Amino acid sequence: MSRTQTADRLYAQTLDEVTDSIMATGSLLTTLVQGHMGTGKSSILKVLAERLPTHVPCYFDCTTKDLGDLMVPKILGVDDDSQFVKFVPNEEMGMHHSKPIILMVDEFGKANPSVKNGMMRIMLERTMGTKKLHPDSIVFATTNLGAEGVGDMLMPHHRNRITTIRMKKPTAVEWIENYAFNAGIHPSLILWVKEHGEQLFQSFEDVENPNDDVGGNPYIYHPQAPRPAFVTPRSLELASHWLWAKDKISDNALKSNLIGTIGDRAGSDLGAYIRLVDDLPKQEEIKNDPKNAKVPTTSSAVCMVVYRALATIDRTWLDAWMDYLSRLDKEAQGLFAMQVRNPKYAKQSMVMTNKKFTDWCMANNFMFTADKV
Amino acid sequence: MLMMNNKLTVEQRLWKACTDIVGNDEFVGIASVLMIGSKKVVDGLPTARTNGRDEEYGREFVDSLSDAEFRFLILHECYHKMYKHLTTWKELHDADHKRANMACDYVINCKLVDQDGGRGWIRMPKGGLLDTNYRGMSAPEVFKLLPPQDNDDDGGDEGGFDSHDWDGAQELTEAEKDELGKEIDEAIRQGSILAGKVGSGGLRDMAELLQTKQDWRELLREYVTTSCAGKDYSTWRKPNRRFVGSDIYMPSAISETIEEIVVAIDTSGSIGSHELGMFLTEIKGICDQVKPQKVRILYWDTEVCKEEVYMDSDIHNIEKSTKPEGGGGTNVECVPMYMGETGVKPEIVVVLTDGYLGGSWGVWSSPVLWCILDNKHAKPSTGVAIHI
Repeated sequence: MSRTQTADRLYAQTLDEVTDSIMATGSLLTTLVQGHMGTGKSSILKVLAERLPTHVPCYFDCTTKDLGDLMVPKILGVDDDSQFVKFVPNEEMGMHHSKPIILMVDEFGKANPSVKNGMMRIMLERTMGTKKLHPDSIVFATTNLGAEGVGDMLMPHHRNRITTIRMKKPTAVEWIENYAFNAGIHPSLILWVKEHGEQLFQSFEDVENPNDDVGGNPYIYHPQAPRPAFVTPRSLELASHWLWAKDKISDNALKSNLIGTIGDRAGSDLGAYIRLVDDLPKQEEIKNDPKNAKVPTTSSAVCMVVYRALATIDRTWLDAWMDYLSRLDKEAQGLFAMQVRNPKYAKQSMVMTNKKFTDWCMANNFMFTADKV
Repeated sequence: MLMMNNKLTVEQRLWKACTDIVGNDEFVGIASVLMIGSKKVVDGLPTARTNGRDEEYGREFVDSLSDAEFRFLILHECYHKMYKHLTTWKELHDADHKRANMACDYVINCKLVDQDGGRGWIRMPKGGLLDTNYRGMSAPEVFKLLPPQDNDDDGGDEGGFDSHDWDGAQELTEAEKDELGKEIDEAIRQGSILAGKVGSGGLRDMAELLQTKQDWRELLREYVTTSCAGKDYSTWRKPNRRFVGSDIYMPSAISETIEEIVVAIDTSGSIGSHELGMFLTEIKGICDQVKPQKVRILYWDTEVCKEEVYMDSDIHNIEKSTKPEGGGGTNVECVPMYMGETGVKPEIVVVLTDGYLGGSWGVWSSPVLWCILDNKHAKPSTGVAIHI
């Protein structure tokens, strides 16, 4: 059951809309982009850099910083022998560039409280110590959704000084079309996502009881269901790397690596899917060389070959198919024959007039006996 | 013209029945499991038998069955395989083998009868164990509800139309068992894909079978350590002494220790000393990592019956020193109420319970983690749940 749609969810922005918003006012005010874990928030910097080639992209990761990493003191002397301290900012903030910069303050919500306070100056006033950013510079920050429960809660006085927008989690189709094809994601993974995408890309806010058999979601991160690994667009991309490397590792290692990357359920499911896909012979092999075309080792793949043939068979390769079928298990042969006999099967007359098929039926006519009652 | 089936050999009927099952939309999802292991027709075997991988069918017995009954029998054996009954529930067999056999059969027969939905395409053979009161239960849940059986006689008269070769299942080496487990798991997942492709919803129980088991210890450790993290910060107010000597003024790190963890233990129901010892050993291990100043154990039933407080080094002996107290009744609302009255404000409360509560899940002012023992149906309305 879905929870009531909040206004920020209702008006959540796509990656393109977020980028447009930041470009429109990024030099005047700071936007904090909130979104689901691993959905491409960090890629906003890349997109902005492509759109603004005159700006220097600068990435500042808050999770690895302590207060002393923001700037260090430098004691300076002057003519009258007095001394004062000048604070020298971290190079990652890009204050040393004389050109406009795009500063992305990543994982702001996870920052140490003292780092959060320390960063407010550059985020709100574009200054750090005595250094000032180029007036055309753009500053924005990113964080996970507070409701994900990964320590991204912001203090009210921080929130009140910035514009917080919500980035929409992409749907499976959006991810495939806008990202996966261009990012070199493994084709089998794209196919798997295409078939199971709805659950893989579901928002945890739409899942009331994550562990339920019905209405639950065993794939994604959910604050109420601790899972060591889970599916996000980011972890799917990591899984894709394992698929590209699958010829170098054992089946067992592949499955184990997938489980460690996208979680128990998704890793097991994807592993089984890959085995199934790899086990299927190409239809062209069956047509051209039925005596030597690969015979699947798993029963599901055998069944799938039979169903695929039932759907695609035509006169030109029916003989070749019957030769190939004789190499499959008896159950698979029976399955094909039984499906052909179904009165609703559109190609029934074509198959039933084939000599090799009728020979098979004669030899195995007990298959068509009435049930013993 | 259809031939009369009476003339078929049992081997031919076996092949035909398997083909019928694989070709049926309802059961296409288990095609892969059905084809795991071998299927033999055996002379002199009174019924049918499986060791969790291979199946044997008694010739005379199958002769006495209709095709609908034979399909039911084949699916029954296949379900033993699919649910890994003979390798998973060996401990039930060791405790009371007749009762274990009955429990497994009740679970399967109920599922198959429901799956058929009264159409008669499969029919349970005479003597089969069926009780719809056990619908949706697992073998150990049914086992608990069945009365103890007399296992002294050799006859094996617990009912049913097959025998379970538990000893044969144990003859598999650990590696073979692991391999069989993987093979079945993959067959179920691939079957689910296949069922989707041919437009069938597949088995109703597929979702349950596709679930993966997670190590509750790992989940417990991750949740507690994550909840208790993030207490370190730095400040310019206190200069870092390491750099002061070099005339460099740097901030220093301040670390706040975790003050208190509350462990609330349900003393009613099924939580025995073994489970409690195992749980507290894990808690102790987690405490070694997050180093709380205090661990408070609250034993509760309808009220908090006993409180034990362990400070610093005492935490190390927590599982040996603790002395549970309490009895019947289960109302967890008493725990947050007690904590409110006594001013206990922990970083996190870890509740160990069987989840069969008399009242609500309570109103908590601290993060709460539920560790629920043997009750997959329990769904807390607040906090995070881990099923043990």
